[in-house]
Amino acid sequence: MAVRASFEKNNEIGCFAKLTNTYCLVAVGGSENFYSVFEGELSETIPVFHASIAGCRIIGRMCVGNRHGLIVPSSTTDQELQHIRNSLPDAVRVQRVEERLSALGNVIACNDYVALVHPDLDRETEEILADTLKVEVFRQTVAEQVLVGSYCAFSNQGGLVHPKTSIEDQDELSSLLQVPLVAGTVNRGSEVIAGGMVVNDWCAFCGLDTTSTELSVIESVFRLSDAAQPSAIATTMRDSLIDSMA
Amino acid sequence: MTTSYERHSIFHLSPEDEAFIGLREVNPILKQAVNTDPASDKLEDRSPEDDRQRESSLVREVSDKMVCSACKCLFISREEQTEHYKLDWHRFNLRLKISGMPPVTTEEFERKTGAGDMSSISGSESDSDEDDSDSESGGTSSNVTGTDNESSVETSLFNGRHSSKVFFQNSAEQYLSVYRCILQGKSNDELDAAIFLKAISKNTVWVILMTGGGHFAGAVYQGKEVLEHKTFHRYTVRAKRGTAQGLRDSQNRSHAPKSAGAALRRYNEAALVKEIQDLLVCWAEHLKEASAIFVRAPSYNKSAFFGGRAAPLDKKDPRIHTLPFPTRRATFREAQRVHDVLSTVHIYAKDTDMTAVYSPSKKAWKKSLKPTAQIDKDPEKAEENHDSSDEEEGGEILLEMVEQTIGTLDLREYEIYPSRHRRRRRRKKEEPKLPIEELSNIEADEEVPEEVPEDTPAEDTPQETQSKNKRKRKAKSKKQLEENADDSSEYGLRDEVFTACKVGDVDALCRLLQLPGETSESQEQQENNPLDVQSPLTLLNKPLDSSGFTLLHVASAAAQKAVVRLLLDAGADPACRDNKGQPPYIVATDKDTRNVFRKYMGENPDKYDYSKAQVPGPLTAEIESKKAEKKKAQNAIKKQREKGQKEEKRKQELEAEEKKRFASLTDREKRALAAEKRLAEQVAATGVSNVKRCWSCGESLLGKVPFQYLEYSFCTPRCVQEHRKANTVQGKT
Repeated sequence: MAVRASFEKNNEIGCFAKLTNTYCLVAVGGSENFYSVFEGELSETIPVFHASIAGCRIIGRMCVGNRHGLIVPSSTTDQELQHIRNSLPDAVRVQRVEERLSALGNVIACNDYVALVHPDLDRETEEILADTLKVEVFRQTVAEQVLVGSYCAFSNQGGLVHPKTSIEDQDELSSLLQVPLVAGTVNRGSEVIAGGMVVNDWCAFCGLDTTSTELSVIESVFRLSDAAQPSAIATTMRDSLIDSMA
Repeated sequence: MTTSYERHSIFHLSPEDEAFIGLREVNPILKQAVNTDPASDKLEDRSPEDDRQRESSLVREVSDKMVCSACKCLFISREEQTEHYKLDWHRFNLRLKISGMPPVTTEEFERKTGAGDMSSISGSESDSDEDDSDSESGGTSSNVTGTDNESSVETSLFNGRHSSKVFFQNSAEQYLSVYRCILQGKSNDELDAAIFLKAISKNTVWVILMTGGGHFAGAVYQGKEVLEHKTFHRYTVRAKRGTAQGLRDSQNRSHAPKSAGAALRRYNEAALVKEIQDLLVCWAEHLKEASAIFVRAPSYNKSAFFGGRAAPLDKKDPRIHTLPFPTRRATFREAQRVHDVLSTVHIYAKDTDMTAVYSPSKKAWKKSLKPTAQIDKDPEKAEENHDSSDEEEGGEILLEMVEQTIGTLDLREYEIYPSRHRRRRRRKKEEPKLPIEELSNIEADEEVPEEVPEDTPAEDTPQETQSKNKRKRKAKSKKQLEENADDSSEYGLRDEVFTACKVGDVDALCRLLQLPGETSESQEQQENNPLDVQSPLTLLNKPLDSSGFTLLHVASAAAQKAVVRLLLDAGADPACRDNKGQPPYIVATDKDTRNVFRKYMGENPDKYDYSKAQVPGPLTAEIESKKAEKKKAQNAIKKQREKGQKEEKRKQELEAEEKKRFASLTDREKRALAAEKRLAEQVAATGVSNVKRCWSCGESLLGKVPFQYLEYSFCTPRCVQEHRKANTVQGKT
């Protein structure tokens, strides 16, 4: 299921929310509309809560997390950390890291098993990442861009990468991450994939400008709905499409 | 035309040797163009197709193409892939990629990082010079499209730089490579190379002079023998300077270092130069007759050789060459190594993809085939070319495996027309790469004459060492397989023995092997007599199955200790190797089995060649008991540690309990307790020994400044608040 949303008229919802399989962080905004969208979709399954990091609302770019944990930059205040800890399920570990590249969301992309990181990320951070999020860490670029966290988004089901990623690179990344990948855009042609959307294994949120084509690509690569699978045309939809051959 | 190989040392080649008739140069770039172009074409053909496919079906799959585009390398397994991304090499290449530069190979990377260490040890700067020039030439060739692997990078390098190695192809289509600098003459002409290669003989005199960091090493070689050698060391590099201070002397006279140390250093520099020059004067005779002089000297040390009025060497002398590879501190041993490296010829199997072998600056020379050979080989050749191109598409992983290094020092004359079957077989075998070391050189030397010639089994001698015979054995086993196919009774016997080894049936094995009379292998082969004549003992050292396992391998892999022991007693050689080149000891799956080998080695130290069998060392009862003792000691320490931990834990538990107990008391009781404590300071203690605790949560206040109101004291303001709230509520009610 992919849903469109905007944060105070801003399409870059990936900046203002962090979505994983076990929790969802939403930035504090002027209105609760944005929060309501997430709450409406997710509140039955996972905790959705307001958070801020270092007093900023761009939490999606500042932190990185998955089912196992959440990593926040050193600029996070104690109070914020305490609030996040209290709101998260007990099984989720929260860890603060001293990292020069403090916008962790921009330099790290991960799902529950693997993480793609900026080539210059600190070795210590890499270790913390592997420990806290229980992932295998790979240093690699996406379409020659070092900000792997911004230019790709992937869940355990699939991934969307920068539109200029070559086929070879896609193959390499896909074999590395062990998920199928597609090069594409969000928000009517924006190449900043992770800025324009958040995704977990069963749900995705995109900017309000995202076209329906983009949405259908997203739904199919992240396997968000069965009907979107092309195989469905040959199976479930077959009867309705083919009237009668006789 | 004989089918036997004989090998030449570089020093033994004679000009009329037919191996060198009609040498001609083949431009390696052209050759590579042929190799690479179709590949890239295919890539381009394929990608739109893929696109279409992708577009048409939206079902996406996880790619199984395990490559790293930054380092241009392929992986076989997932583990290899994940390991790769943790390497420094990968990080380095990623950086290069980001800055738009072509990637470096592992060797280059190691050289780059290694060179730094080396210079800090020896104070030599010459290595880094080379690296710089390497990377420069790499930098000019940034036309890497990312469509192909390493070869494209290296192709471009051919244009830029003169190669350090020369490649020959003999009529067996094997590639031979030697350092270009040993072929005299600086011109590029193909004829020169041929002539000069021919000119190198046993009597050729080479002089190697190395200096750097205050060290000097010089040696004169005739053929491979050392005629003279000399080394000195003088203190010329001041500690922690990292570079030669002498550079500053010449740069600015007024600011030249004036310290005592600097004076010492200056004296020593002059003394070193003097010593070198004196030595070279003594060696004038040798220098005159030398056919090549190899010099390794950093720029500021060159004056020792070329400077001054009576310079011992002439800079323009065509015999003088610099060493084309990095060297370590100038010592005699290093000079020996340099000489070895220079006189080594690498031989690559003919179907090796030379694009992968060429290091960034090598050229290939191709020797024309003899016309007669050409005629009857043509169809085959075409086929083989086809094969090899297939392999090239398959990727580079295969390539390292067929490489083989052969020293030339001990080689004899040879003909280069091996049988085609032999070569085929050889290609199929993916041999692990042998290290380029002296030892293996010699080993390989011995190996070579045998491996090619015989297609007739008559010459086989069973007592040849195993490593020599890897190939032969395989050939033999094949033949035997054929023989045995119809020879069912022997097959049955082998089957039984195999089974006995596998399941560890010692009795059966004893029974099966208890036939007397040792017949040699060759005899056995010729008598196709089944049954009685063949002794099962001959089975012992023969490969049984397709992976080349002998009985000992089988027993070892199945961890049948008793059988292993029995086989060793019966004479099964633990140095026999399987097709992968592994001896039984390596195949063993558990420690106990390996220990059987080691124990046996302890008992019979001279029975087999254990170093060849890769058995690390004997295991005697003494060692075992020592080990057991050590383990016991370790266990004791561990136990003690655990005990300590347990005690600590118990203490903590007690404390926690006390904390709980105190917190659960009412205020009145706490007050009473405090009073009681005061009273009974000399009397017996209550359950709570420490009464200085937070009134609300029971946290100990020892060593803290407590928050207090009235007579209550607390650990935190929060506790104060809670307590207060509770009290007011009480007060109201």
